[in-house]
Amino acid sequence: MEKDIEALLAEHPFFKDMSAPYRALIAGCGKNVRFDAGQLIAKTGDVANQFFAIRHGRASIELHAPEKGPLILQTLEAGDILGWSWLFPPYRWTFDARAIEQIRAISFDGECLRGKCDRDPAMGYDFMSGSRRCSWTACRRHACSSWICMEPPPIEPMLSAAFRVRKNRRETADTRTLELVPRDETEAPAWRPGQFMMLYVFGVGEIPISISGDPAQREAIVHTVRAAGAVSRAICEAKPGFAIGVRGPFGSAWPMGECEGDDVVLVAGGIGLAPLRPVLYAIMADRARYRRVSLLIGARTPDILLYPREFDRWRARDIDVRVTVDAAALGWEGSVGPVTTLVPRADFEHSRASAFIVGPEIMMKFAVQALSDRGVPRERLFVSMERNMKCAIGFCGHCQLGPAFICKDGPVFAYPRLEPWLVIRNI
Amino acid sequence: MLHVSHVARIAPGNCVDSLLHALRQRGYMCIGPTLRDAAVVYDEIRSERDLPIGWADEQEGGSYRLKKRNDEARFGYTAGPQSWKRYLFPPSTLLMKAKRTPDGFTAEAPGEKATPHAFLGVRSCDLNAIAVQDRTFLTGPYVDPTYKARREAAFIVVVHCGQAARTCFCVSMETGPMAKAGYDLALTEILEDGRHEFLVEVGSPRGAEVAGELPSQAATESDARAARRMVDRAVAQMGRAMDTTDLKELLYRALDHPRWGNVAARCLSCANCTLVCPTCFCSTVEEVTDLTGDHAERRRRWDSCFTAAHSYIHGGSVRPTTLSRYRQWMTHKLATWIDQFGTSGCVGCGRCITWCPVGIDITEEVRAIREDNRGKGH
Repeated sequence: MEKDIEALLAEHPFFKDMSAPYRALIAGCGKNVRFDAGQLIAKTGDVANQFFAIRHGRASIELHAPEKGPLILQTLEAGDILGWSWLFPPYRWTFDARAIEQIRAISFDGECLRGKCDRDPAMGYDFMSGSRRCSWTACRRHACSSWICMEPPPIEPMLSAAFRVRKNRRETADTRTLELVPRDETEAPAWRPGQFMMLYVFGVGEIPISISGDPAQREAIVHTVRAAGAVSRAICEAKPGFAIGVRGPFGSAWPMGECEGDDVVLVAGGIGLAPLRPVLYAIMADRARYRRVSLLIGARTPDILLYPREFDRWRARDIDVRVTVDAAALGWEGSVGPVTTLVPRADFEHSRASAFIVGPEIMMKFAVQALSDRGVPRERLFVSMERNMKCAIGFCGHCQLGPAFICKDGPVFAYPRLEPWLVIRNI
Repeated sequence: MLHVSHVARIAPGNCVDSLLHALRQRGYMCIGPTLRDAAVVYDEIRSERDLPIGWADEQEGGSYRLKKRNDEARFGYTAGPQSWKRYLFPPSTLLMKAKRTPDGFTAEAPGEKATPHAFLGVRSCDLNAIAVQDRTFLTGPYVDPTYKARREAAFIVVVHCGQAARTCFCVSMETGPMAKAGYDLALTEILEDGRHEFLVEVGSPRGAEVAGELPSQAATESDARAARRMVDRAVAQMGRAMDTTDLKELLYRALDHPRWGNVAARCLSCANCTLVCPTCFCSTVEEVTDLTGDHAERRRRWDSCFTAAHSYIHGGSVRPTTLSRYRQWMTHKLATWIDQFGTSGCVGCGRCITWCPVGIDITEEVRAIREDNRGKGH
């Protein structure tokens, strides 16, 4: 019996490079199993004490996603390995696995394997290096089903890294834009437009701030901050050279890829322009990928408009920039009224447009309405949400909006996902 | 092939000292039930005498009283005010230590080494609650290092319930009174006709090792039946029930229900329910400095969705009213939790009912919304 398993393992890509004596040892923990099409192989939360080397057939790895039901993350086939949860406490499956068609596999008893690895660490090493032989990406493809879709997250996700303020520029009376560079002179972490960081001032505290710089520029992270509380005030007052702690990036990004070849409408209220500026940088870097691009900006008064010096640069790259204020001041010659009044005038084709909207919640609701009135499909309207956040990694519970955690499911959401919740008062 | 032994043993009623000894030998600090401030609370157990021997509790909405039993039961009580989250997700945790330097600050992780704990007397509801918190803290994308270290180090001794409180409803939530899996050892305290023994079930290899050091013999069919009778008694005593049929959908449809106003008129927004709940995980993060201002700590502290600060963003709280906060708590526990983590956040332990100063009863609130919706033909 064991001989058979050993022979089967020698043919399996995951085990074929393993040294023969170790393969023989491991074979002692394996047995042949079969699953019929549709049969559940592993269930989320159940004790994970097995893993499978698939010999024939295909299996789907499913995750229960909020409001979406089962989400197929990956399909595995002959030659793949299914399941690593047995190796790590608490030894529970972190996903569902289901046979798409009849599967024949070798099932290994996790406890037996752990025991053998403990007794013979050299074998344990050889076995684990089987999973390391492939690069992280290949590993994700072939083996690491419980780590699917994740970049390796930091071991200490609540530890801030020290950055240094390189520049601190005044935007308005209470708003500044800071450039932060890693103090150890390394490259700043990669991020995508729409994501945010947790910024920390020693002795004061930490707050979430969206990134407002150019995603292609990796030497500094740029944030635009309005002095509203103790931490944001301390950040705004930071002189060049001052140390600021940084964690992140966190959260979801604007769906730039889905908009390629189409019209893009950006609607910004007040400081909401900050998390949209990275989108403008990305569009300008690759302008030909997008059709018509409109930027609709609203602010309470002309003196609190963000980045006014850049409007002409954006216009020069064929971006239709329109600006309105709630209350004009002497010398203002532009539009007056809420930002939603710009929507009917903007130049886009409703059936080919996507809109990214950021601002106060009430403004976003009206912007959604105005864009819907022009026929933009609801599922192509994206909003960026703000809630109280203490941890940014889904543990502190503060940022919940219905079933969504703004920090890890958002801050960028397709509007239909939030709509049932946003219509409820004080939710 | 190594197999977990499921062969049960039978051990005498005074075997707890042997159990404590075996666990201490392996480096565990034993945490279990003890009497303090007229309640059964969890603390370090050094000997069997620390257990609430011969004590039971009487619980009702807003009421908890100890009373003497007429036997020497070691585990004759039901869920007390604390749960094991106090040890796995402590009320206050150091997350980061920072020091002022000439050019700013340096920060490091606390690097605290977790003392391995053995939890003695984990009820099935609380074992399920631990599994619920595992999903929050361990199933990513991020993993909480404090929780992970404590969780991995914990040795779990379950005690299946032989009695239930008036506030218990684990049967409705399918979380008890008998634990199914996820323990190292499971005890059933058999108390009948002058007999006092423990049925010992093994759930892990290390559990088998510890069980091997107890004075015990192989259990018989009749022992297993006696243990089953104990658990059946707890089932029969179950004081509350909750109909969970389509509960998520029911609550999602009921976000504007007038019942929220009714419960808000009674709720004091005191946060007791969230602090006694074994699954509630909300926390806040605070910056604490010493008097010199040269050292700072980032600390995590239990928080509650019943406070105004919980939902504060510049300009005010998102949930400014008691109505909105109670609705958030209950819909999270029973509905949105399912979307977030694939399981209900309620394990039916009944603590939120007992420790609510005005006796608000989550099972009653669900019933009220359900019945009213039925009336409207939903």
